[in-house]
Amino acid sequence: MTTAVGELDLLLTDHHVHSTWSDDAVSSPMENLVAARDTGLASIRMVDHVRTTTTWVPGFLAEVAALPRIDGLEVLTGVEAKILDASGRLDVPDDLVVGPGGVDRILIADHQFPGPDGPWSPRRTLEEMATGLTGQDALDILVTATVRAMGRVGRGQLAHLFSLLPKIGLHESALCDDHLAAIADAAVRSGTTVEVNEKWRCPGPRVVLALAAAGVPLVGSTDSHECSTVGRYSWVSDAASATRLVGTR
Amino acid sequence: MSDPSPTRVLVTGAGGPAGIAVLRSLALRDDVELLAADMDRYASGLYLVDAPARHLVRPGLSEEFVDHLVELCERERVDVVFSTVDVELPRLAAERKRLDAVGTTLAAPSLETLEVCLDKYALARRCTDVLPTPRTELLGGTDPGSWDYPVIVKPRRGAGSRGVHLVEDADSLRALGSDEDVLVQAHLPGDEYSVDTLADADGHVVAAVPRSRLRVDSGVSVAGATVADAELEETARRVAAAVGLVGVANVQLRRDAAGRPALLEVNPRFPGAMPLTVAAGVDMPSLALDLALGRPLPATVPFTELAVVRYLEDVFLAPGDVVLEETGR
Repeated sequence: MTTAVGELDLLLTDHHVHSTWSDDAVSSPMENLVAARDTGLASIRMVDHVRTTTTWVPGFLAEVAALPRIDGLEVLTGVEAKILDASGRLDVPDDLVVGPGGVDRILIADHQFPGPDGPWSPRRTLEEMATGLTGQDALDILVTATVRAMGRVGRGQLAHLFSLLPKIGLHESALCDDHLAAIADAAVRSGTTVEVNEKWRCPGPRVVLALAAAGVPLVGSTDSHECSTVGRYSWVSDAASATRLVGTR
Repeated sequence: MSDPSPTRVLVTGAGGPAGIAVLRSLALRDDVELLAADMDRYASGLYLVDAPARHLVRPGLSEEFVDHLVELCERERVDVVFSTVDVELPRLAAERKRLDAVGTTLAAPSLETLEVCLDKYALARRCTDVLPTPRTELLGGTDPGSWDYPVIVKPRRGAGSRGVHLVEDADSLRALGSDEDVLVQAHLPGDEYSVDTLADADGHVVAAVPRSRLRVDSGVSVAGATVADAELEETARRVAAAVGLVGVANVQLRRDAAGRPALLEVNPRFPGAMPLTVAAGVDMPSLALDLALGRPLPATVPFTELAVVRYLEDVFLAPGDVVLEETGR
């Protein structure tokens, strides 16, 4: 399967849909597929959460591969993993295959702050910031780790980029243009897509516009784990039309 | 640095009355985003929150329960988790550090408090010198001839009224054998009360709200009233101190032959009848959230005398909006 996301209306894609392969999710890949068809999506990426110990990826891929074909609906796969530390290491199984025979992309997630010694919880990060780490330092570490993760993965997608910031008392407005340029350059160089995420309402318009201007492929994402929310956008559609990325629908 | 984003609160046991009580209380706060979880896709409380906030969890007794809940809390950026399920509580309390490591605070009493409350024999031994406590012995270690009948027989561990029954005479008690996991307890003749009790981080009791249980259906109070009675409140305070309570517990008391309130058991979690206590002026779920967030609590919160009758309520959904039967695996 090939991806033509750059040419697709962002709102016709949902590149972050969880199924029962993620433990807390409630809909099967088949239910999500039907929901994608009924919502009129042109492209869906089925994605489930992994960590280093995950062993079920082949079973997940086999189930998605066995889904019936629907005309006009592209079906892609991915796994979502958090950035573990400042070096951009990801929480994925060692034997994960990416590309032909494996998952189409790895979704790179900021579930925790990628500290120099491993993942930091928001509270730990706030403590570090109370005792010397500046907001700019924190953003530098986060952006650098994200850039490194893109380099490691090759075929990545940035999941809910910067959703972590409110939890550590920061806002995207504190990002400097160099941060955005670094993300955009790395994304273009590595072929990484960036999702605009309905659930976490991020990244915001400034980041989205900067990435779009640099030629980064943007995709829509509901981060759904229940089929009734697949492909249903409100914040993303408002943001997308406000930034003239797509026509108002 | 301040955290301007809303507090994300996960409530487990969303199918039970306690889970629903916590969800409904916290839904009134505009600084909270609620998530609901249950092992059962038909748990009604799941449908009190938005579709993206509904989660299934493994059964509290399953091996993977804690691993999966920690992962869920990490991915969903849960700030505070309220467990309203007895079997989940000690397992989560034992792994509180793992939750802390992903940024989630468990709003529950300490593991030590949970353990002494969930073992009714340990609880009776802990409290017997501190406040009136009915004579309590293990079935296997007691002389049936030494009791005044009837007596109460109940599981040493267990929730609600399951397995609790009256035994009328010594022969019937002998016939039950010598199970070490069964308790014999003197049957107190007086009225029974549930006292919803909240203690702050220092163990200071902020509120103790006695409730009479006027009608009980399947272990759930369906009619009741708060009762301003200083003796009941004081007894609950002494229980809270004896078990080292921080947070919310439900202290069950019954008057003995002399009319003094005596301790039956402590459920170290939110009771299903919590809405009455909330309506009477003490919003314990909300106060417990403040406690979990490290915010100061008032020294005392008063309550009014109030009665309640309860009924089942319906949540209507499009068939497609019901969380579907799992077909993936």
